[in-house]
Amino acid sequence: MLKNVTKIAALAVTMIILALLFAGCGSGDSKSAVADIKKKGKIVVGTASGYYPFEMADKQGALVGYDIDVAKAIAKELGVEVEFQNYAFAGLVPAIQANKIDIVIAGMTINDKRKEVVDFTDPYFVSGQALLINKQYRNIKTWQDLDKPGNVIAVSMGTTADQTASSMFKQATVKKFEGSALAGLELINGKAAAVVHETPWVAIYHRLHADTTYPILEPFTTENLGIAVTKGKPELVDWLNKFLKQYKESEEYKKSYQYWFVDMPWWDSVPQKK
Amino acid sequence: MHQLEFKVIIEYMPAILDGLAMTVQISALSIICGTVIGVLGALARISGNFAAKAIANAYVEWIRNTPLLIQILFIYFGLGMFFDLSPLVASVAALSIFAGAYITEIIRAGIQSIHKGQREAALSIGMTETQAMLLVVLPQAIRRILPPLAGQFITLIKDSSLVSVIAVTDLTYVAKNIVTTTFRAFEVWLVIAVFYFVLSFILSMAVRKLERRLAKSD
Repeated sequence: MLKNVTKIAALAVTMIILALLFAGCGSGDSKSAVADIKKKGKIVVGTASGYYPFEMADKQGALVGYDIDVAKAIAKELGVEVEFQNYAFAGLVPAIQANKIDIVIAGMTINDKRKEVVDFTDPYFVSGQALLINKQYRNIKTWQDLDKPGNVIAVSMGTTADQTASSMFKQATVKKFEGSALAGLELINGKAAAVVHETPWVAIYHRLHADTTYPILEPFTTENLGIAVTKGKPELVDWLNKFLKQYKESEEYKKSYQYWFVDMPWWDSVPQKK
Repeated sequence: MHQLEFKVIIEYMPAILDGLAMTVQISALSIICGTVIGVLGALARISGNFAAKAIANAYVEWIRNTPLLIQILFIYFGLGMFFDLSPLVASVAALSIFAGAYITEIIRAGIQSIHKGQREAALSIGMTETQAMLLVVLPQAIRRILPPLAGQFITLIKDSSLVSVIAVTDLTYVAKNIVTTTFRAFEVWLVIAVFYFVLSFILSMAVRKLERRLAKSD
């Protein structure tokens, strides 16, 4: 027994030393992040599908959505291939910290907490938090009505909806799921009174489940969505900011916006539950 | 450049301990229920009753050939469309049913590994079937069952981390939550791994002690 304890202690110490060593040798200064991507011939984009209509899988399983268009336009401008890596939303920041991906485009809100660990581009979309309510809770009209003991609010873990709900709701219980899809299931199964999420998601999820839910779309927060980049790559951030400026003026952008948020012809090509 | 900062762990220690308590609770309940299911399953598999045998076989095969994560999601979200299962009940049910299938096989194999001459000898000196099983076969089988059973219990503790997907506030859920607010992935996951290690290690030490005691009684 004593022998075992000594062995374990030795192992633990070795692991910690290794950790400190690795911590020392970070990603380097990467002055030429843009050149690196061009040399690699591809840009690796982290996203978290299931966030309608920013990123989702179509019936063939391919990633489609507003953010996917942005990523593809970036790759085209750089003259490289785009490779998507699909994470649970909460896994995106750790993935970019660990240099598994070049950038994150996943409807991610720019906030101070995230800014401590990653860099953001200028906003490319403005949105806010809204509520989707289960019809059994007819009397709920505002977020204050929702904040009662015993009410369950489902959110996607690690999103700004999670952060907003966790800090705003003092009485109600906030339950966190991996991804919006599971949080939504909790709601339509009648186990949660509401889901907090950004307005486009609430509008679309309500359209999918009009029989069991009703939306309160008036946003109670304002959020700027940005592209996240590993810290210490100012050149890449600058490049992306220049790109976004010109992208937002382009025909391509107008078409994409019209397609995903206004006309919504994609409606029939993504899997829907009835 | 990452600076390691283990003080977030101290800050969040109360939450981590709550998560630990939940993991212990779920694992303990599932170990108990899983063992009960396993004993019943093993009895059914070695019984002469064709229907009981068929049901037990189907159960074992179905559970062993589908992923636990799918079973958890199915029980909570799938059956949840028809029954109001709390996350805790759903997780204990999923883990017990899952472990029960493996325990069924462990116990069945243990019993069948005892030479049939033992049973025949017991019957020939006038014991009934039940006496032969309880007094002669099982005491010998238990020594062979115990090591793989302990392995199964330890696996169960680690598998219980999967219930975090249905928002059960176990050790893994708490850890994921801390990572999303602090982004201290390295520190948090390292410490959580140590917690799981200690839990499993205590259990395997306890079983080893029990094994030694059983060996002495030979």
